[in-house]
Amino acid sequence: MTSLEPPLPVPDADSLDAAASALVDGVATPEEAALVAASPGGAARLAALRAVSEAVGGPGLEQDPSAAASALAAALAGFDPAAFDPAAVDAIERRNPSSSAVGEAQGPEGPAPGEPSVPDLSSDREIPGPSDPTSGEDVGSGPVLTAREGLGTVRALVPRRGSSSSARWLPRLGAVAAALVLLVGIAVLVVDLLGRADDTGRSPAGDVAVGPTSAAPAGPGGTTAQTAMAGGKVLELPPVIDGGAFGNETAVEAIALRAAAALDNPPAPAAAEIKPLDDVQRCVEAGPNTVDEEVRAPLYQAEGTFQGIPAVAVAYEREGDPSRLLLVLALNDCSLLERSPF
Amino acid sequence: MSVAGEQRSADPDEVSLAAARAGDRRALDDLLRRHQPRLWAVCRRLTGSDSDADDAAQNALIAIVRALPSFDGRSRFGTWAYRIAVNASLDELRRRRRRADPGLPGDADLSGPGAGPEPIATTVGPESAALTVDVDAALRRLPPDFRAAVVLRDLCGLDYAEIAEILGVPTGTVRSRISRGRSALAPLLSAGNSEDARRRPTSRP
Repeated sequence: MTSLEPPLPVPDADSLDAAASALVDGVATPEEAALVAASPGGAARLAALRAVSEAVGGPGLEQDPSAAASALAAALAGFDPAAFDPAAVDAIERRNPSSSAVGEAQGPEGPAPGEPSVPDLSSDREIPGPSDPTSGEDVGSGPVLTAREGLGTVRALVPRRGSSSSARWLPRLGAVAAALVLLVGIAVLVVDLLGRADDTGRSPAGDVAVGPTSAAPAGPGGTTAQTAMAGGKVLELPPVIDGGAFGNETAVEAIALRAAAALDNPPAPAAAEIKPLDDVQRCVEAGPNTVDEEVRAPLYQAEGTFQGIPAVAVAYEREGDPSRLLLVLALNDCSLLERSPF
Repeated sequence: MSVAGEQRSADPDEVSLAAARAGDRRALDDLLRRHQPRLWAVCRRLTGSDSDADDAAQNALIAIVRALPSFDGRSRFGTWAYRIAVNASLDELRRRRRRADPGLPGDADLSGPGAGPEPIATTVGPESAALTVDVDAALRRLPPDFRAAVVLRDLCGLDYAEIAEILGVPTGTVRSRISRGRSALAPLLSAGNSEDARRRPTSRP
């Protein structure tokens, strides 16, 4: 996170201030309360920090009503009821039975909002879909990409809301069978393509609807081959360079420089390995949906902390000059933190 | 139904969310209106200016609506919305940095009288005396990581775990940032109060 203002030297952790601050928040331990009480300046420090808390949280912040109304109208204009995935709604309603005020029959009561929820029916995790900058889950009403922990990816049909248990699973079984057939077909095509591939290792990725889900992450510094379907053919896309960890950065330009260096001097390709979908790859897939412009294949990925937020940096091919776009995405929800063409 | 279940049933956010998912635009409108003032206040505190807060809050609301179908209910709606608002505010700060407009409050000098945005009337101190302090100017001096933690705690009243979830850091880090952030703000706000007190006309000759 950055700002224009000169940085204020933040004092190192001070035990008295830490204890007083905890008291302000009502979370102090007995030892901390005793420390404040016993310290000569404890009461004054407590009062000072309490005054800060009250000042920051004080009244006086009100938005101009016309600006508020226009913001609300702009947001509501994007409301699309059809975007809600009935299966996701089902799952949420099972976790939060309170939503039965509008929903249908509910399942067993789930954890309270805010508590970690237990995956229901399976350990499926949804893969980020379009127009979803914050949570990385598919928002479409059609088939949903699901990743079963440890088993790679399969494409499954979404059961409709209110359907019976068998009705829910039959389409999934059919989809799994179809996926298996598809995988066999892809394997045959890959073998065929590899036999005919030239030495350049690059294909016209610009004509391809990029499917980075097929990219298998390699170790830091390695590259991983990825493939995509285009016109019924499996095309080889530029390998994704795994930049490993980029540490704790505050400037996107520094990460872009690192990506450029890695892309200009790519390491030797590493042996592809099958790895379950992880948060990094989830963000690699979600990245294109966080920006307005169209990007192509992912070229580079790295993980680190950006302005204090655990983040994933992904470089994609793009139209125009410069020809690459670096996106820094929050690791927890793949929301866009920063972008930088390079 | 259990007490917990009844409490959850009474959560207006849950009810509005369910209705919105069923296509009820009015319910979504209610949901957003309920959270909009606080979301804007967060943006206001983080960006330090009304106009930037307007932009950030609008972007946040748009992002919320766009991402609502994927909201999985594992966190409270409010927590999730705050996270989006914080990210939108940070985006706005970055845009402001790129614009590098010297007229924006990011260039305010804390010590300069009249510099920076209009001061905010704030109630400070156990006596609840209405003192005008430039909270924004003080917050702007704080690194954004610390600023966000302090604002989410003191303005929104979130607990450490919720703040940790929003900022993507451990709760211990949140506790430390709040404590150190307040420690850094204390002399600034105290100086602001003193300065303000000197500038204010006294009632006695």
